[in-house]
Amino acid sequence: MKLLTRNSDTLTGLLFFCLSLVLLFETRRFATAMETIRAIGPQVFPNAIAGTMAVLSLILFIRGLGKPYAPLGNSGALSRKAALIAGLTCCIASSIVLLNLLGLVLWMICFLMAGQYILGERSWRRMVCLALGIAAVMYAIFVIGLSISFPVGMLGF
Amino acid sequence: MPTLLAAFSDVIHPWMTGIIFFGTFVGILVGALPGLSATLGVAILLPVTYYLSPAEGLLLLLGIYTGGIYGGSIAAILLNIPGCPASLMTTLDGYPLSRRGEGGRAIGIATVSSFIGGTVGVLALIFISTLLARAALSFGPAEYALLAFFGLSAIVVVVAKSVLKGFISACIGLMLATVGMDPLVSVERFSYGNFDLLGGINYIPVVIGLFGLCEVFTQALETRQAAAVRQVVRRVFPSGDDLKTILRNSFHPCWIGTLIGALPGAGGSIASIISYNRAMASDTNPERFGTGITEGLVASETANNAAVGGAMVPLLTLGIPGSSVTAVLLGAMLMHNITPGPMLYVNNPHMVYVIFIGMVMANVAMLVLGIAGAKIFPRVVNLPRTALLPVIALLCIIGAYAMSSSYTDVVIMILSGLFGFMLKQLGIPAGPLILGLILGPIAESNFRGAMELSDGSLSIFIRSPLSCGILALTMLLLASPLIRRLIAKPNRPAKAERR
Repeated sequence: MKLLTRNSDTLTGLLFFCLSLVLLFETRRFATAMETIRAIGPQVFPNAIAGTMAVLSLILFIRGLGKPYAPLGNSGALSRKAALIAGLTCCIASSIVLLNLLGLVLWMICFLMAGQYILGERSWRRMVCLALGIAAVMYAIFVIGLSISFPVGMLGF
Repeated sequence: MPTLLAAFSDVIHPWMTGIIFFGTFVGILVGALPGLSATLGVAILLPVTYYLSPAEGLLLLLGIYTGGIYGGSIAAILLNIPGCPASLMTTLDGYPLSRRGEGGRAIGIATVSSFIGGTVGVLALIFISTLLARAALSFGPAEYALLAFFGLSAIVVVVAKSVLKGFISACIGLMLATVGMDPLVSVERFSYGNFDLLGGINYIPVVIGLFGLCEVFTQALETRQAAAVRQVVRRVFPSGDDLKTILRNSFHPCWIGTLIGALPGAGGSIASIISYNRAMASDTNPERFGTGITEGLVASETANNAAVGGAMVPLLTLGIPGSSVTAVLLGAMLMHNITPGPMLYVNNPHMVYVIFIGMVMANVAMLVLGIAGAKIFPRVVNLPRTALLPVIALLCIIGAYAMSSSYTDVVIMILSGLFGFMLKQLGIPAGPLILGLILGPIAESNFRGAMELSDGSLSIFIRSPLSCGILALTMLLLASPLIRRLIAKPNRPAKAERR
C-alpha cells in the first residue's frame, strides 16, 4: 500500500540531488593531505558515489518533470494512514525508554497490547491472551534459551 | 574425505538437525504468510544466530531460506496470493486445484516438487561452486572491485522496476558503508565525532529495519485482509500417478532453476516464470495450463526451489550475493567471521561442507514438515494482521537490541525502518541499498588496492582478460533494459494489430 500515488520521480530526484550535494560538500572535510601518502585518498570513493548519485537524481528529476500527475486520493483516508504510521512509530520508538523502565516482560506485554490496539484490535480478551502468550514464548527463547541479558526494569524482572 | 565426514557427523547431530528443522519450520510459516518473505525471516532471526556457533547460525538461516521459498506455495495454492514472489506462477495451477477441493493434493505435489528441485539445486551447487571457486582463486583486487560492481548492477537491473532508482538505492548503501574510520588511513568519515559510528554502521539493525520494520508499516496500511481459508486439507501425499508426473516433468525446471538462480540478480521468481513458460511451450496442449494441472505446479515449484541452490553459487564462490536474501546471508557469514569467496574453500572446507550437507538436510526437513504439517500450515495463512504485525515489530526490536545490548542499534533499526518505508513510497527498492552497504567496504578496499597497484591508473581494470570479461558482462547487463526496449518496440505495432 502506498501513501504517495502521485508521480514521485520529481520529488525523489530533487530529494536525492540535494542529499548528494550535501554529501559532496561534506567529503571536502576529509583530510586531502592523505593523498600524498596513498594514491587514492579517503574522499575519492565517497566523492565518486555522491557524484554518481547527483547525476542519477538529476536525470530522475528531469525525467519526472515530463510525467503526468495522478490524483493523490482521498485526503481523509490519507491522514488516517499517516496517523496509523505515526502511532506505530511512537509505539515502537517508546520501547527505547520503556524497555529500560519496565523490564523485558512487562514491556513486551504492554507493547503487544498497544500494537494490537493501534492496528484495530478491540477484543481485550484476545489482546491480553496473545500478549501474555507471545511474551512467555519470547522470554523462553531469548532469556532462558539464548541467555541474552535484557533490562530488568523497576519491578526487578 | 575426512573433512567431509566430520562435517557430515556435525550436521546429523540431533542438535544441529533440530536447528535445521526449526529454521525450516519458521521459514515455511513466514513464507506461508502473504506479504512476508524469506528475506524478512532471515533478517529478523539474524541477530539470534549471534548467540549460536557459526555452523548452527548458518544452518538456521539456510533452513529459513529453504522453507521460506517453499512456504510461499501454501498461500499461493490456498489463497491465490503468492506467499513470496517466487510462488507467483504457482497460483496459476495451484489455486484452481484448491478450488476443486484438491488443496491437499496440490500442497503435496508442491512439496515433493520443491524437494526434488531444492535437492538437485544443492547438488548442482556442490559441483559448480567447487569448480568456480578454483577458477576464482586467480582473482586480484581489480577483479574483486569489478565483481562487486557487477553484483550491484545485477540486483539493480533485475530487482528494481526503475534502473535509475535502483542505482540511487545502491549509491545510498555505498555511502552508508563509508561511514566511520577509513579502512586504509585513519581518517573519520561522516561520523561527526560519534563514538558509536566510528566503527561504521552495523548493517544488521539496518537489515532488520529495512526488511522487518518497513514491512510492518507497509502491511499495516493494507486494508484488505486475505479471505479466510475454509477448505479442509485432506490426502496430502501425492498418488503414484502424481509422483510419475512429477518425476517426468522435473528435469527441465531443475536445470532452469539452478542456472537462473546462479545469475546474480535473478532468482526464484524469474526461474519459475521461465520454467512455467517452457513447460507450456513444450506441451502439446498448452491451453490446459492455468486450469489446475500437475505439470504447471511442478514447473513452478521445482524451478523456484532449485534456484535456492543456484543463488548460493555466486555467494559462496565469489562472495557476491545476487539477491536480498543472499545479501543478508552474506551479512550473517561476515558476522561469524566467515568470508565467502574462493579462499573459503581453501581455508575452511569444513564450513563449506557443513553448508552443503545442511542445505540437503533443509530440503529433507522441508519434505517432512511440508507433508506432516500440511493440515496445520493452512491455518497460519488465516492469522489476522492485528496479531501478526506487533509480533514482527517486537522481534525486530528484540533482535536489534540483542546483538550488542545497545539502544543505538535499536535507534538505527527504527530509523532504517522509517527510511525504508519512505523509500518504498518513492518507489526505491531496499535490496540494492543493503547490497551496497555490505559490499561497500569490499568494493572500496579492492578499488583502492587496485589503484595503488597501478599507481592511480584506471587501466588496471582492463589489463587482464578476466577483468575485461567481468567489465563486458557488467556493460551488457546495464545495457539490457535498453536492448529489451529496442526489441520490444518493433513488436508493439504488430501486437496492436493482432488485437
